[in-house]
Amino acid sequence: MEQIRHAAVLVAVVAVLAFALRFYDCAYPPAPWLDEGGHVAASYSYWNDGQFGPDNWEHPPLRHILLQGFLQLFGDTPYGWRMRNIIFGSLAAGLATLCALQATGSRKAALMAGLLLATDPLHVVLSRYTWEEIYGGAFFLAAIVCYLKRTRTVYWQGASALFMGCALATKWYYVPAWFLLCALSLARNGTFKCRRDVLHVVCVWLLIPVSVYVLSYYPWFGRGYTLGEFVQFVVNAYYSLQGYQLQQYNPNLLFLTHASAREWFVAPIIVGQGTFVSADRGEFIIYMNSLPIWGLTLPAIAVMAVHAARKKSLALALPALVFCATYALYFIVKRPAFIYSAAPLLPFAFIAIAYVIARLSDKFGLKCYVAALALLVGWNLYLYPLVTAKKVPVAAYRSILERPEVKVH
Amino acid sequence: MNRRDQFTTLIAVLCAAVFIAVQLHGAANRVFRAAPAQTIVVATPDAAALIWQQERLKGRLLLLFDKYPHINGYAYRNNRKPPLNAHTFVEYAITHTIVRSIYYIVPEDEWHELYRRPELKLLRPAPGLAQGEYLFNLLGTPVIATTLRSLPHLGEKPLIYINATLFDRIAVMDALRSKQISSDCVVVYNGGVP
Repeated sequence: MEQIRHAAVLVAVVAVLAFALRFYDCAYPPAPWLDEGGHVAASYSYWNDGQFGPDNWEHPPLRHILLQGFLQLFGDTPYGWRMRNIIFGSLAAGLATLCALQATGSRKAALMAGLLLATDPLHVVLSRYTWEEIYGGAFFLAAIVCYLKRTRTVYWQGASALFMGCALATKWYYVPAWFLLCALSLARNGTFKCRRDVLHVVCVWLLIPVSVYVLSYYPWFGRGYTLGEFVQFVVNAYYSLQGYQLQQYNPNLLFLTHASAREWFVAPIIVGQGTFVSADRGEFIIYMNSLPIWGLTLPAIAVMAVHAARKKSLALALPALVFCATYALYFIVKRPAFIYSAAPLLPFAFIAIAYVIARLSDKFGLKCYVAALALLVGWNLYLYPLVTAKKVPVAAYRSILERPEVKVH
Repeated sequence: MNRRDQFTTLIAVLCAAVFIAVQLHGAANRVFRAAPAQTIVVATPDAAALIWQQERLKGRLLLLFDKYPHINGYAYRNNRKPPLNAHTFVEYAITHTIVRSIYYIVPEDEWHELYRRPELKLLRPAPGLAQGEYLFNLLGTPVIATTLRSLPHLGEKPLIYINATLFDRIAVMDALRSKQISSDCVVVYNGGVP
């Protein structure tokens, strides 16, 4: 009971901090930012008529339904547009803490993983607008958290599949991890050997996500479509997504300079828009990888995977497996992969980093952990005003803003 | 039956309920003309969409005998439904939920030209058709380019729009009759104002 209380406090602290960072001054800019205008219009269009425009029709439509709920609650205002991401982004930080705790059993790792996600500049900036990666990623994380529950597994597996369905009904990023969890469920305790057990796993991992996915198209079916046409539509969406090429995008799109997922964890990516409000001050909305932290991801994932293999611990291996399965997708698909698509990977990257640092601190003492935590979170907090349109002294960020790879429009 | 088996059964039942619900929802949102079938000759193409709208037709399949493309993504680019004119009448019908899918009929002798028209944006071959290609459009509306000979038997009455300056109306109707395809509303554009 004491352990549950400690875990709850940890999760709550991280989620509240994440909420504060995401909510503060979120109504600025007061006009729709980048794709927001299209997302809001598409939400009305989908809710009223089952139409996808002016947003892309290839992506699944749960996003329109969710946004409509928030528009009804908060009105067609910046709060109505953005509260969905603020809430789900904050929940994601709490869930990352919980996931790290379940996977590693270490409160130190859990706190660090949660704080890294809560303060990560990319996650923060995406959480302050209408990006699908935030709530899709939160559903995905919730699916992993439920999957890792060890008691009353029948219902937790059901909840996990439900959240996975919600993630899949937001974007297709999560398909490899869905297959992975399905395969792991079949392998768990020799399930595949018993036909009845296989039937149960298939029902849970196939029927629940597919039902959620199909149900998210309910307004679209209201245009007269049938299930047969739905299958053809999904196949069309697949072909269309595979056909996306860089030259088809709006040439003014910020992200075009970095279109490969290979760069995400090894090279600096900094794109965005900014205005100089005076000679020495400016405000910027910047999408960037926090490379001093992100750069630790690949070695940390490798270390975690090796430790998991040595300990034969599926719980410890899961963040690394999910990371690898999801990241591999971006190497397989033919379409460009922009930096915002990295957001669903971040919780698992930070869990691995936090795990390695927590293990090192077991050897080198608590001071080492505290110093690392302060350094990494401090770096993220230093970047916070730069990425969230606060009026910042340009001199304080000159070393970043003047880097040759920075494309600030 | 133990708790796990009960859960499995519940999931299967709920999934079946979802599938049935969406199927019925789709079927219930197809509206056909109550009055007898009718062929209407219009002076301008946009009059076709007005007729469909006045008849309160909804969720329909359209056989389009015309020169495609008709979907230019106005709604996608402008965050609103397109105004009705001769160039937007199909997109107007789609965004007003009158038309859900389109068979764009290509004259037999022009079929191979289809592959030389990049503006049509071929997506993939349409399964089951000797000559059939799904075409990409910004609205995601299924559009299948095919020839009259490859047109499959349709399980419902489609809307038919014939541009009689490009297609022989009598020959088209005869060919459709031979395929047992009938419509509750045939609109013929005889030329004149483009």
